[in-house]
Amino acid sequence: MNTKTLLGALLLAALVPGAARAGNVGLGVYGGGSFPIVQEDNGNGSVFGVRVPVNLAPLITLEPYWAKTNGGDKTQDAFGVSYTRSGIDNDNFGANVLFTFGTGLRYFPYAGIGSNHMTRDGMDERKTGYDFGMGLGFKLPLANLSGDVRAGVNMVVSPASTESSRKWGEITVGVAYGIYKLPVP
Amino acid sequence: MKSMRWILPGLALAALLGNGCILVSGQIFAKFQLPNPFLISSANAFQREFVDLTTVKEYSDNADKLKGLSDIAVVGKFKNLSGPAVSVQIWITPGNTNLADVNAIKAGASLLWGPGSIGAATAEHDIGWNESAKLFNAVGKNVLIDQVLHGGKFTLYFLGNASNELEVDDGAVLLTIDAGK
Repeated sequence: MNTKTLLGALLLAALVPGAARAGNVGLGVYGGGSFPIVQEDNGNGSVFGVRVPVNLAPLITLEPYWAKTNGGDKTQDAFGVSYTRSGIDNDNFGANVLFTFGTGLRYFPYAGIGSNHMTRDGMDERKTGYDFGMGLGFKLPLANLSGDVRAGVNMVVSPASTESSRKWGEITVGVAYGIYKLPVP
Repeated sequence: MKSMRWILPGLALAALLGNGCILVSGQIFAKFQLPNPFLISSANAFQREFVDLTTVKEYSDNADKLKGLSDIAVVGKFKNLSGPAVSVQIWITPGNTNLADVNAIKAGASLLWGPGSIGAATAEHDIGWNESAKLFNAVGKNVLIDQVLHGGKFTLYFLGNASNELEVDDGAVLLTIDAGK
């Protein structure tokens, strides 16, 4: 299955049930830690971003996002001398589909696809990425406000090979505000 | 509807696993030590160094899983022992070669790196990982990637200038290789 097929499947999954019942549109911000997975030239960093959850069906939410990851420096020893490599910064945007279980305290596996622009000294690459993970959502004691905690993986096709990837584990906390309620037909 | 919520993430994961199994891969740091120190003599204005990555544990451990080369740097403390300010270049050939002079190098090798600048004697320039990574030339880098993926043996030619005597301390080649199943 290629990238376009995957994106199409995810969009179809979100939109087809949406035809049956309308929902809400929100705006959220989030931030947290970013942890390279088996990347020996890239250090721990931070991630923050914006999400627009569009709840088109009772159980499924389509969520376009933009995110910025600031990679931390990585130091390696080579024959008694320490060398430091600047971390990889990653500007990315895409869309996730959330599959929500529960009411009140909700949990939701999610998966998505995005475009990633990775930069550091000697690197300026745009590559497709995939992300997936699990989230825990809850209402906040303010009208139209909700929060969530997520643990996931962002996996970007490596600039060096289409058969490998750079992966980051991400733990984030976010809040979202319901800004528009779509009319129910 | 409930089963769809599990089926679709499953499909997404299957797509990822089917895409060359990029899930099981990583970026492995490897290093190759150059002679310490070595000279780029004014007598012939270059120094040849053969690199055999099969002697590097991180490389040989992943030799059957190599997918690409993510990052590369040639680092070291470059000292200008005598002469005016100078630029250093590194040229590369596949395998173990022994080109006779600068003209033969420029005709038979590919520009890999540089120029890196060093001030007039007795200036020193500590070239680190970040600075070095920016100085690679696409043509030579492609030769290097090809050699890393196919055997790991290549020859580097450090070019200086006939007016200069240069010394390189703590010289090393730093590699980040992509390895996967």
